Amino acid sequence: MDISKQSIETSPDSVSAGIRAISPMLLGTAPFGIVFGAFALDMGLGIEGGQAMSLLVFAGSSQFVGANLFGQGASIVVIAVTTLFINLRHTLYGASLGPRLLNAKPSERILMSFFLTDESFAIVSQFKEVRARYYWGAALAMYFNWQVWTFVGLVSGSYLKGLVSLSLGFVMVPAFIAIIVPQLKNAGSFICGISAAGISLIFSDLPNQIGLIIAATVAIIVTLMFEYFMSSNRPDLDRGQE
Amino acid sequence: MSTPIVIGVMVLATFSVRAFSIWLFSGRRLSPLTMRALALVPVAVLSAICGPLIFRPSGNWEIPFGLIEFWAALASMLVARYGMLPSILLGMGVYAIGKLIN
Repeated sequence: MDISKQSIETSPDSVSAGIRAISPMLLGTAPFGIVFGAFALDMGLGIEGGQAMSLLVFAGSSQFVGANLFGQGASIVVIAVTTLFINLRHTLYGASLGPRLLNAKPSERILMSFFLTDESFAIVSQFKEVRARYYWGAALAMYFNWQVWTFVGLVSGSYLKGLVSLSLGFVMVPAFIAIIVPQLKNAGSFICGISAAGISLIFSDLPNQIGLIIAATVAIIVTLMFEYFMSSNRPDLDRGQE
Repeated sequence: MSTPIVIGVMVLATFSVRAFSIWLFSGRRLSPLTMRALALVPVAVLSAICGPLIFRPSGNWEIPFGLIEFWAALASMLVARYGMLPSILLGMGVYAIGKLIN
């Protein structure tokens, strides 16, 4: 489905539309899932442990780090704190999505939050209002997709040891670009995107993706200041023209 | 340390963060400034994720023109307005070809 041409006001009210919207990303996450399965096996989680982590945690980067720490014999406190920090960006996702969710009871919203990932957030972030069915379609499609590819990685792990060393970070970038570009409609969002990307380069060496949180937060503040400055200057300009 | 305990702790650490903010911001009347800030979250977070993957893929500072990731991202950006599929296909195509040549 051509997302960039959709209405940006309200998402469609159907599960299938959500599935269709996220479908290009499903293939993109396949290598991650396979590599995670192989990696989990390598770290000693076993087939049941690896699959259980995907089923219950459902957070790609956290799973990689958690499995790695487990394999290295890290303490439970270190694993908990690291997982918490890696997922801090979800506070921004939840804050952004919460007010825009339609037709969802409070208990359903809590359940929805379990399925909130980079990909599902990216899909629904294009709409000012998100209908619950649309979210469920996108989120559950990504969930089942992740389970399938994790399982493939787990059962074929011994044949895929070379895959574990591959750098797969770039795989999702084109999909995210396709979501960002149509949202760059004014100077404010453009400044926000450029400054977030630029600041994240400076802080990308910080552990546990803290740099990502700093970059996004600073970029939003910079953009709000820019927009405030522009709007407060506009009346002066208008008066000057009178 | 047993696997179920590790997974249980990770479930708590992941789910608590996800659920808290959705619960906190759902059904509340927010100020225009907060709404605008939240509207900027997708662009800010996704750009911050992409930045290092495009310009510092190895973790080192490099001239972007020599990076396959840079050219693949540029190609992806050029067709992004036509939808996600063309963007993924062209971006990953350029990336794959670049990796093969190198």
